[in-house]
Amino acid sequence: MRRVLQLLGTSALRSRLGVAILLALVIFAVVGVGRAMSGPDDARTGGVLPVDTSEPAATVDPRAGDDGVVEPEAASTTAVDPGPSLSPGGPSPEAVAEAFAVAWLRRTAPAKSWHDALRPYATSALAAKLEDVDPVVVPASRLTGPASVTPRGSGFVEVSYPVDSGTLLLRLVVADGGWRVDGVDWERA
Amino acid sequence: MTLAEIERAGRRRRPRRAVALVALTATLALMCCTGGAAAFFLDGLGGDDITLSTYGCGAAGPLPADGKMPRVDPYGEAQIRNAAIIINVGADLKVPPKGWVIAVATAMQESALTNLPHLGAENDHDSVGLFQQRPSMGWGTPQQLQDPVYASRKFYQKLVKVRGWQNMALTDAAQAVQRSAFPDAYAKHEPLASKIVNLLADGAARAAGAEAALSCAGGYGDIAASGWTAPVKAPPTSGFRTASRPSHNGVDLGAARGDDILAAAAGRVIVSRCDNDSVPPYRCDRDGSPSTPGCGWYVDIMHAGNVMTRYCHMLYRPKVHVGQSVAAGQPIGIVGTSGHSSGPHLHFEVHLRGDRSSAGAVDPVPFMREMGAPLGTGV
Repeated sequence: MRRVLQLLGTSALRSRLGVAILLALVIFAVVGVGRAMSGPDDARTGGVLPVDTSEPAATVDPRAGDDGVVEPEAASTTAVDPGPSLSPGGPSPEAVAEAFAVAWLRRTAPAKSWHDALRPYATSALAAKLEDVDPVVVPASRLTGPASVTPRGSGFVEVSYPVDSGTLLLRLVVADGGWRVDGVDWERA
Repeated sequence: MTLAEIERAGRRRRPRRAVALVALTATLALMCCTGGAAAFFLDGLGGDDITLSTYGCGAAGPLPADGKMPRVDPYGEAQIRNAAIIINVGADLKVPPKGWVIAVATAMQESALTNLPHLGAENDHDSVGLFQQRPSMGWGTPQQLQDPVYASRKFYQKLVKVRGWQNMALTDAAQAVQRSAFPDAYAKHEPLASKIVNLLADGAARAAGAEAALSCAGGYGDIAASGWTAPVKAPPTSGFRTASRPSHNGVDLGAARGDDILAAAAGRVIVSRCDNDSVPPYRCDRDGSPSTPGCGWYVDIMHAGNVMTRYCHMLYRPKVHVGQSVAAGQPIGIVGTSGHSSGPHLHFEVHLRGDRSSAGAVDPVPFMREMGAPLGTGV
């Protein structure tokens, strides 16, 4: 055993490959010890390639080279922005959402009348996705609170309602000149 | 040969053989553990928000469902075991990994990955099990549908019959199978479902989603099982918040004028306009320059999990309008140089928490790599 180790030692030092392997082992050991000492998940203080992302160099104009968006954040984070294609005089997104929600919750209705009641408030894309749906699988039976309206962009609004089983979320877009429901999402309470 | 000669020969040969053995072992260890070695050196240098789970793309196959299971908040061990069963059934049926992500996301929405019994009088229909399948609709008996293996197999059998399911948005493929009253609901589970598939199946959500043979997705135009693709094939030419560009909240990808820009994932367009100029003739219709402000013709897309992507400096008005649903890989515009730009390129941003401001921006390079859609490696 001892002789094998001895042979390994001398031959490793004599051959270039052996030296390379030894060096690789040393590097692994140093990096490993460094990482172990520097504690978990802290790349900035760790022993390896510290990446400074904190402070910009003082000589650089912080706006220089910024080719991102310059326009101010849309003020419409609370106001609904209908976009250019809404015909004037139509019902508000809340009114359309509520009419859709009430019709959607009628899960005991015959399938045909359930679909007919939803269609005027839905985009054709949503109507197609709801084709063949049996209303008995609607997972809620009544609205339990008022709507909350979140504008998401020009001509795009989310309206959500608390329902007896969780939350019903409707996504409305402007289509055919008026607000229409294009997406239905439900989350279990 | 005498015994002594044999011994001498052996002694002569032994050192060389030992060195060769050490070299061979080291080479093999390096070859098979490059991922591990890379992780050893690079781990912790990635993004802050995404944990790099593994470096694989599914080649090692799914974990068996009978071993010890991790917890993935908010799901406990029993629920993750159900996810492992769903994944293993998909692998056995040779369904591509995109199908595993769809199946896990569907079970997350339908049952929170819990093998639900019939819910009794409060439930006026007969849905049971992980996927809330209905015995009255011919899915199987209530006993069969509460067997996770049987229920998963039935889900996949129906999924692979949906025409073009590999290229659909996850929520549309799931809805085509489930026929639920909430067609949009599956989308929000896509990020966590991808993470679970990565964790339980060696990073399979990063594999090319439409192929049953598990290899890493190729980037541009090749949609990973996670539902993501690189928006252009060109590599980054300027990084995220570098020392010389500290407020550069995205990466510049050196694409050529006229290249298609693809939606990086399915989602809904929330902005499509000329930055800071809302009246024609639009400043964005002319090539910009380093003295022109803004990002030119641009598009913001909101994806599942409140991830948002931004695409700047398009040549013409974008091809998509606000409110429109887009599929992963759908062309949304053309590379140009409108706005604050010295030459054609795509400025690409990724934002988390639905935050459009610079506070929501993260480095797109590690984010896209984790999604299985690395930037700049397309063919």
